[in-house]
This record gives sequence, structure tokens and C-alpha cells, in this order.
Amino acid sequence: MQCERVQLELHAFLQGEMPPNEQAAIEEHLSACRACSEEAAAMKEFGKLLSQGLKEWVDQGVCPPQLARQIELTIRPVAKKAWWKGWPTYVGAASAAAAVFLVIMASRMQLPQELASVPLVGTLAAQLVFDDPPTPVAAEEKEGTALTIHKLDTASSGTRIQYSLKPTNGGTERDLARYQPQLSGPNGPLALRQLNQRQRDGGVLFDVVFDPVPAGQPLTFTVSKPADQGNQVFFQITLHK
Amino acid sequence: MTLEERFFALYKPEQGRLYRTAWAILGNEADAGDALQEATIRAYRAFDQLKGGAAAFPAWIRRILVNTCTQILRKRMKVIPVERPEDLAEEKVAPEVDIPLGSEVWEAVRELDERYRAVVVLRFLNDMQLEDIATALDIPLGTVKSRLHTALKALRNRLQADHGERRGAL
Repeated sequence: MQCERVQLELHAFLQGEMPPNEQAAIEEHLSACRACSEEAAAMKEFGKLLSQGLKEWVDQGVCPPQLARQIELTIRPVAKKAWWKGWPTYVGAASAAAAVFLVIMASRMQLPQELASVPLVGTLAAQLVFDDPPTPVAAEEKEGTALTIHKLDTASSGTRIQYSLKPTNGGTERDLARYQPQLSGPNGPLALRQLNQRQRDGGVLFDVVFDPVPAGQPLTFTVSKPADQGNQVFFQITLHK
Repeated sequence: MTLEERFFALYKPEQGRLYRTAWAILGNEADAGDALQEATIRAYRAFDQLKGGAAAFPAWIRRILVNTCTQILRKRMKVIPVERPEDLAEEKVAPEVDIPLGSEVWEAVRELDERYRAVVVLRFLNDMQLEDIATALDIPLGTVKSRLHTALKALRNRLQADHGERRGAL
């Protein structure tokens, strides 16, 4: 066997991964060729060094906290029943700060690299998991009306948002069906292509489709009161990847 | 304990190691994060099928992670058809995150071109057999051997040069 050929096979040989007849041929060569047998010994040592070094480096590894949190959020389901009924306790338990962490994971968007920090108008949001059954994305309670985003999907056919408005805690229904949704991308407002709404659970469920937006762009979703009630922004959320 | 609690109790101690393993195989932290997330979800979904309990968990989830990474690599590596030794070392790029790099071995390995780094990591970090590396990356066994040979030569030069410099400086 030629030295060049042997050298190429040395590693496999040292691992015992060669077929028996080739193994024997290499052994024979090594017993006769000093250069190759020295090379074999050096390679063996070096292999150990490589292995040790890499494993040591891996053992020191720490997962970046944001990534860890993100992974946790995609696996732990939101306590679906509890959070709606126990709204005040949920608010207290989660955070007193206005900024919350929102994770977006949609089948057509790339996996986000980091959590988006989203300041909300008013109180806070729960986390999102695109799963079966779908879990609410964000919720906001203000002036006796609760807004909950149920679904958010960006696709080439359009951007679809499903949300509901519901009076709570003795609040009155004040023309919730006339609250106006709007979606803006980086280049300005997106055209509303479709709006469906129906009464459900004492509130109004909205299903709206806007123009599509390229993946990776931040979106601002706004719901405003009807014009005759002042047209003010009732809810606004900006979603990043 | 709920299923998630049991899963996370076993998973959390491994997460740092898994993250760096993905980083080593895929070459950058962003891809490592994606792969780790995907592998974790796969593992969680298969968790109730795991036999052998807590002791079996680390190797089991590591296997899932390595499979997830090699799946990504298979797609990526198909784009580069030609094998050229001068492609061996990429230009040195600044680290993506400002943290210490750990062992000097990793510093040398991470500089390798992806095709070489992948076989080195799968062999020396993940202790995979050469045939299994060939299957995982969907390349011939001969290619695995030649890449390993070339990469090991380059790494030896690099790491021994580092040592030589240090000795000279003393």
C-alpha cells in the first residue's frame, strides 16, 4: 500500500472502522514504514486533543437567556381557562411593567431570533403559541372592554388577524362592531381586503384580512373607536420578529 | 409533576451543551438557536416515548439535535458543488456575540470552511462513525475521509503553530 493512500485511511483505521482485509493491509504497512507509523501516533494524539477541546468547550456552554425563554414559551401552553377568568391575578402575577414579551411563531414566518419587547397601551398581553387549539396572542383590557387577538397569520395571500372585542366587568357594549382595525407596515397602512364580524360570547369576533406584508417586517395593528366616539386609538400593538 | 415540568427538569441542565453543540455543527449562533428550538419541540413531542428515563435523556435529545442540525446542513451544503482545498479556511470574521470563545481548539475549528468544520465536529465532538457522517450529510464516504484528512492537517498546523508561538514568547 502506498503511503499516500495509507495516510488518507489512517483516521478510519485508528477508529477501527475499516473492513478487516484493509485493516490488515494498513497494519502491515505501518509495521514497515516509520513515517506512516509516526504519523499514525501523532494523529491519534491530535484526535484526542481535538475531541477533548471541543467537548470542554461544549460543556461550558450556556444558552442565551432570551432564546431559553423563547423556547420555554413555545412549549409551555398558556393556562387557557385560568387566564381569562382570573384576569386580575394573571395581571399581577405576570408583570407590573408596561412592556411585555411577545413571541411570534407562525408557520410561514421564520423562527424569530429574539423576543420582541412590545409596549402596550394599558395592561399586558399573554404569550402566543400557534398550536391546536389556538391560544390568544395578546389581550388588553381598558375602559371595560377587552380586546383579544386570537390569530395572526402572514402569508403571500394576505395578512390575517382574528380578534375579539368584549365588554367586561360590567362595562357596556358601545358599538364594538364599529371599532375600526388598521394595519401598517414599514411603508404605511395596508389595504383592508376583507372584514367579517359576528356576535360571539357577548362580544364581537372580527376576522380581517389585509394586504400581505413581507416576512420580517414590523407590523403595527391598531383598533380605533368609531368616529362619533372620537376616533381615538383604543388598542395598538407593534409586532416584530 | 406535569409533563412539561418533567421535561424541563431534564432539559434545562442540557440546554447550554445542546446550544453549543448546534453552534459547533452549524457554525453560527443564529442557526444554532433555530436548530435548538426545533429540536426541543421535536423532543418534547416525542418525550412520552422515551424509554430509560432520566439517565437516557441527555443522549436521546442530543441525537435529536444532531439530526436536526445535519438536516439543515444537508440542504445548505448542496449549494456548493466543487471541492477545492483552498476553500479550506474562510476569512476570519468577527465573533457574532461579544463573549469569550472558550477553548483554543474551538477557535481553530470554527475558522474552517463549513464543509470541513461539519465533518470535524461530527467526528470529534459527536463521536459519529465515518459512515454515519456520510449518511447524515449525504456525501460519499471517500469525501468524508478526504475532508477529514485535509482539515486535520490544517488544524494541526494552526494549533501547533499557536503552541510554538507561545513557547517562543517565554
